[in-house]
Amino acid sequence: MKRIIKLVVVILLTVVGSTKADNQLQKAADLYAAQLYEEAAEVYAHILETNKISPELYYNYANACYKSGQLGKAVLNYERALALRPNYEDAKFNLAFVNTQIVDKIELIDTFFLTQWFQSLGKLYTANQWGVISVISFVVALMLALLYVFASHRSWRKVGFFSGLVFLVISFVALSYSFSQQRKSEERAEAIVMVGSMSVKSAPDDSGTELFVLHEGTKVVIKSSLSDWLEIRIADGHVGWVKTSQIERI
Amino acid sequence: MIATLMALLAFADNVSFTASAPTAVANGQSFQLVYTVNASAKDLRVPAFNPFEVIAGPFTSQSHSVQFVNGKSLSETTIRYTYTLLPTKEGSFNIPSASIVVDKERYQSNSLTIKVLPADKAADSSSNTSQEQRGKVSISQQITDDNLFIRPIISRTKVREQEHIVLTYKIYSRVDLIDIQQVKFPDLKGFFVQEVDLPQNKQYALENYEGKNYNTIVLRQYLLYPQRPGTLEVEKLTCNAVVRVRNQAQVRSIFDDFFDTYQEVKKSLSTPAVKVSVSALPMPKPASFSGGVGSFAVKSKVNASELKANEAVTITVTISGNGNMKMVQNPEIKFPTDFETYEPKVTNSFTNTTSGVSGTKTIEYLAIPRHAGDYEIPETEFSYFDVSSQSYKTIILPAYHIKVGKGSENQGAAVSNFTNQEQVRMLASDIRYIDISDFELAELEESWIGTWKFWLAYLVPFFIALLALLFFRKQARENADLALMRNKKASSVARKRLKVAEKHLKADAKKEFYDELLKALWGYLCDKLGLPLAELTKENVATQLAACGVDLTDIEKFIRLLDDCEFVRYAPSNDDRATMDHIFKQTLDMIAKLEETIKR
Repeated sequence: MKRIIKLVVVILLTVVGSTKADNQLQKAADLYAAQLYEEAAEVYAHILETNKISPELYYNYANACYKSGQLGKAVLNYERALALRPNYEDAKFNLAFVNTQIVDKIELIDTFFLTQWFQSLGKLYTANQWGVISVISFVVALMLALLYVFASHRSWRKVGFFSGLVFLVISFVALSYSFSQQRKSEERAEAIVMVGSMSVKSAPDDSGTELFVLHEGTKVVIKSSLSDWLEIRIADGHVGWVKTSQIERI
Repeated sequence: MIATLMALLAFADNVSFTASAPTAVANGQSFQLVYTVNASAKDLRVPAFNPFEVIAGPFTSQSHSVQFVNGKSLSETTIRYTYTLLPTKEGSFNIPSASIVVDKERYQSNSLTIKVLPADKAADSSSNTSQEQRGKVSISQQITDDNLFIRPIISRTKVREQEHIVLTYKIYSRVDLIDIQQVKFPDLKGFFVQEVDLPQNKQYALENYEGKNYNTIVLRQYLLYPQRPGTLEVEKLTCNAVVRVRNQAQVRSIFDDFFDTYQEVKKSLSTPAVKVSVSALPMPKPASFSGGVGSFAVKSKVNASELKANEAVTITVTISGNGNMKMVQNPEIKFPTDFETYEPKVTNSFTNTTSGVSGTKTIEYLAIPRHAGDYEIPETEFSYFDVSSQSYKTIILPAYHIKVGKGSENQGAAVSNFTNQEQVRMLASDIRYIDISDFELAELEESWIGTWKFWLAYLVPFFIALLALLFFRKQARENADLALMRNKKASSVARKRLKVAEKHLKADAKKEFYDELLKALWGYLCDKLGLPLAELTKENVATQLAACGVDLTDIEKFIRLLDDCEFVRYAPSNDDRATMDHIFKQTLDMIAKLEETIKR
């Protein structure tokens, strides 16, 4: 009986759904609401093929993937949503939740807390957002410099001088973050394991020694590539080679 | 005496009239059919005994017994009509009921079904005339494996998991079997075992097996429920049979034929092992699969749909049917989380028969709602594997709507000292729902970091600022340069004036000297404090200097110096030169001191 209802829903939705992306989105949301997660995921994937994107779209797609049991795709798409909007609260929450479900638990290397702060601060905004922050704080710094120059009162001049200096520093920091984020998104060095389990080899060769095994959903960093092999590093610092088809870049 | 007996008989209303005969006989061997009536009777009418041949009878025998118990007499009369019949055909035949008249009333007997087995081949071939006619089986004197053995009879060798098999251990005997001893029943690994209750007094039954007729007796009967798929083995059973054998003495006396001597002989028997192939239940199993295999019916009922808080609600689920009843799991009833639930109480009433364990299982679920409100107990699914259709079947127990009113006041008062607050319990965690707002889709925005636009965003404001600086540079200079320069040059200006004053001092020009000195002091203050000359008064100066962190004593000295200068300038003094020297020195000290204190 349930199956029949599901089938009817699918048919109705396909009939109603038109080619427009908005309708497609609505259709996917309806399928999701009807707990037809696989079908919803298919629709989202179809929308993504049109190269129109948004963080919400990736987020919804990831939800549908998770609900239909595709952990790897779910993690990948949460990461993509977060790459577009780093402070996407729901995506962060769901990614953290899904990360508790993946098989591999990797001990992070202890890094100095200031380094960690600097790194996590950089991940707060995208390259463009950091660029805007940099430009704005540069302009503010200029205005404060003018205040310093033109202010008649001694205290105003003081304010202008020091806060101007602070904003100039902020501008430079934001600029450097902007460039580092830019480099990160151009490199696309981070990737997610897409296969159920894969063995990581010591050499870019099938006969290489099997170093360790990673499971679906684990995040790796790509260091280099050789034909169809990629050298990866995992969070605890271990390095090895895997086939290109086994992982997908964020 | 006789009259009373007759009266008693007349009152004996429980007249029984029965027919009895063995259920199985061998072809060509006579047997007895006996009609028994427990009252004096007449006019026996028997049916046609087709296809049996009456070779003797009816013989009538009557027995009479009178018992006195506690002064009361009980009399029993039994009349037996015995027919000796000879079967002529093999097969299963029915003998219809006979009738008899007791006290002018006609009673019907039971009908009988008699199975006629083929004649014993061995007996035929041997044409042994010494075989006993009254027995059904020719008693052999030789104890061989053919004459005495035990057979495990299994109802099926290919079954589903959890589907019942009947395992019967039957003894086949053609000898005078007395007893079975030291029975070692097999360890039935991989099965859930239920023993079938057998009648208390076991009786021999005739059975034709591989062309021979045997006296058979069921030793034990089991219901087996395989617990895992694969090939399961029923191990062998061993026992000792005690057989009575007639002594065949070499020297036969004349009495031997009359007084036979017997000897008891033991023979050990064992059964072959039996293999059963068990296939797994088909996948996928439904989520609500209870483990039940067989055929079941499930009913549920609730004792009340409207009640008060703290009163108990009971849902009774009755599972009835045939199958692996003992292995059926209780269906899980999802009471609202706010209900206090208890372990369900289970009552079983099962009977083990050869067709499986059947009966009912009653499960009572007790729950106590602690708060008022409308609650819904959702539908409960119960799934089992139906053997006859070889598929899973799901029975849906109905949902119940329960209305809970406020509890009685007494119970409320008992807990009134406590607050009813509870921590919000997290029941489970899951991902958040999808974003259902109308979000816009857009092409992937290109990075503008490092493009000429990006750098322009820096350069344009920079040039605007530079232009502003150029445009308003006069103002800037006035603000910044003059103020700063005056500050910086304050002491040098003062020094210059002091030098002029020193000239006047040497020239003894008293008035000019003091003028210059005052100018130097006021001018220094103006420059240093960044205030126009017009705004300077002595009081003003005191507060300003204090604000700049100058000591109060120094301020006092400074003010006095100013006063002295002004006073001495206009006052004729006799010791001009000394005073002028003194004041000049004081002024130099003062400026040096201020210069040190007010560092701008």
